[in-house]
Amino acid sequence: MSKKIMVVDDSHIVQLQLQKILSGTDYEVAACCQSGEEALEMYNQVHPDLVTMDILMPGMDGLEAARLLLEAHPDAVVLIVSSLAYDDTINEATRIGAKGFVYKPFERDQIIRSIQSALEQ
Amino acid sequence: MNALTPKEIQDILDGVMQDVPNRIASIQLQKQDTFLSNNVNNLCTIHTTFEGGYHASLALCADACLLMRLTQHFMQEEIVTSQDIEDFAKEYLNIICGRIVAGLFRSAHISSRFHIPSFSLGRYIPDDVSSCCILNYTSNCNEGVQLIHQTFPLENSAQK
Repeated sequence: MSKKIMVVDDSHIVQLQLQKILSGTDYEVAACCQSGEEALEMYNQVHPDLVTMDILMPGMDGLEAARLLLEAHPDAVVLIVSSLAYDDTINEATRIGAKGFVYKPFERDQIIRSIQSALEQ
Repeated sequence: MNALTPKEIQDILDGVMQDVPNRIASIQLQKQDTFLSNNVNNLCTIHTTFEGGYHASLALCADACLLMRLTQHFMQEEIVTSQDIEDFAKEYLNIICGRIVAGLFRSAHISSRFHIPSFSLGRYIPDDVSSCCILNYTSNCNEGVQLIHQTFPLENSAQK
């Protein structure tokens, strides 16, 4: 059975890109959210196996959303997918319990490997 | 906080401008002295501002044909809509800015963020060109790209 992925990214084109990349793999995009607030609401309905989380979004940013999500659901698996890839954000992502960090722009194999690796931790 | 010279900032911008389209679509941009485009009536502009330890604005003007090619590669689709191109253009500047923020942090430990990019049709021409760093490029298909970077004279600006 496919693992359920919830994509949190305000960019519709990134949502489509991830849906396309993951179609035909062991993962399926079960839901897409455009903000951290929406992700927090949607998580209980979707129960995803993994959440990909952008950082820069309108309203609550992805690191704050990930922190709140992991506080409420310590078993949640969060993979940060962002162009804001530098020590400050990577350290913060690790500190709050994210299972990985993927730089944008990413390649197909890279994101699939990162999802697999995050789910195996 | 350390400061960066205009040349150091320009080097960060130039590195990012050349790296990102290459990563997305293997498109190599050639640096030019002036803005050259074979389609000046079909330009788009994406704009954002930085905040935090770095106060600046960034506008990217690009030939719509180049943005369309990048969108096609990004989506792995031959047919893309104008909305796809607009969405991609904003994501493109988002990626560029993320890389710039990372570069500023690595070079001078400057922590900054940027606002969500906005998109408009047409070319952006700044009021005061003398205060801007302007980088011009062309693609292998002679599509023009111009990056207009303007630092704001505020405290804690990264530029010295």
